[in-house]
Amino acid sequence: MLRFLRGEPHSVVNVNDMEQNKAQQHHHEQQHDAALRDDLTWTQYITNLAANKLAPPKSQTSKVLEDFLSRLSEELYEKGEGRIRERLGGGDGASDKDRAFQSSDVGKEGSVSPIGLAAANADTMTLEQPLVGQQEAPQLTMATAKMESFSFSGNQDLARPTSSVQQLHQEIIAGNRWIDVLWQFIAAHQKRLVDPERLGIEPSERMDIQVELIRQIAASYDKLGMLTRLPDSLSEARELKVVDDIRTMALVYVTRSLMDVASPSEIADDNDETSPKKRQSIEFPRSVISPYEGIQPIEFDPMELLVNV
Amino acid sequence: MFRVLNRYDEVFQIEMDGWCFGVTNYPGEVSAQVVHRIIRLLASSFQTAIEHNVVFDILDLASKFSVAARCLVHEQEIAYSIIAQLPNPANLHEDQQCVLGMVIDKVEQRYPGVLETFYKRWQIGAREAA
Repeated sequence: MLRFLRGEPHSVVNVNDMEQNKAQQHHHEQQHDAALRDDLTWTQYITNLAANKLAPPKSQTSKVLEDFLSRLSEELYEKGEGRIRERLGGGDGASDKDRAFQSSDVGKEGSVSPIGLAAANADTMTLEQPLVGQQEAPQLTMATAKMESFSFSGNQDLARPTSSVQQLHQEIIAGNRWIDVLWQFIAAHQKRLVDPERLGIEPSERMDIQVELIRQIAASYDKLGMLTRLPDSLSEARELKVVDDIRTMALVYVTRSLMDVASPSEIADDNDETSPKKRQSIEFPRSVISPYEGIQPIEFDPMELLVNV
Repeated sequence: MFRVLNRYDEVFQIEMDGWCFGVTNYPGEVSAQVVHRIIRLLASSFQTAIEHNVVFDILDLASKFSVAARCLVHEQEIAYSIIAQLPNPANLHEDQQCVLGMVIDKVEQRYPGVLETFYKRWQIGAREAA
């Protein structure tokens, strides 16, 4: 009451608190919106990528994959030790070990690679986006590099007699888990129609195929990123796609007009060098030529790449 | 009047009609950005047209593009956008400068002040080039 009489607004603190809370809430909402927007952008990018070969926002790609991997890393190595032990005790280790031995055979002379098997069955396998061979990939993403260190660490560990079996098992399980999650992520977002089960591939061999495909997908992102001239901005890429479509329609119109303009007698005159009615040749402006002229398309046979892996 | 070289007026007409046809028949939404992007793409065509002594009607062209784009962009805006893509007179021959003058003159009559605006711009461009 005294405060009030002195003219001090006694509710100032409360109002400030409310304002702070409001600001915090607004900030959280903004963060949530930004995350949602990122998710949407990412999903849209993935769905457009295969069809339109738009520029992959590399930062976004690596960011999402790195987030995934770092989260998994934390889960597996800091919080999930108990789960790993549980899985080890569950008797799954033997099959994982076998799997590791199998993967160590990949690439040796005379051994049948699961990728080769996939290629043999590849008439039933449809890829929305061409794959790029690992030997052609200039550099792998961090995700792939990390994945490699897990998926192929089995080979290195087998070559080292001093490594403990438990450590090996842990790495194999961690590797499997990572690959599964990454695979699910890619399959869900990219709508790839690669189904090892449908292809009749043994479960023990699926992991190797998944590893290879994930590696190739990552490599193809890099390759696309290097070759494309489109900017990172998705809206601008969409705009360019619209312009490209309009350009195609314009070219259709131009072709049709030119076909309509020339009558059979005019064509005959044009073909006759000595004809006085031969029309002067006309030059097309540069703008009707594709702006992508000069960029060599990537020509490769996915089948061949799969066999050579 | 200057003689049109290589029947370029026909080519130019077909090309512009083609783009208008594309914009008109595009099934999705055509935004103002897309229209301006197309105009930017046509810069080389405008330059070639002037080099071939084609006195094209910017107002007519702007009106066609505006109608094609479902009147989302005003024809004056498109006309200005086209003029912005025209070559700098400093880089043209005397005849070509005359053709450019005739092209702009029609717009100047409709929208006074255009020439002055772009003259300043071209002067700055020429100074930067020097």
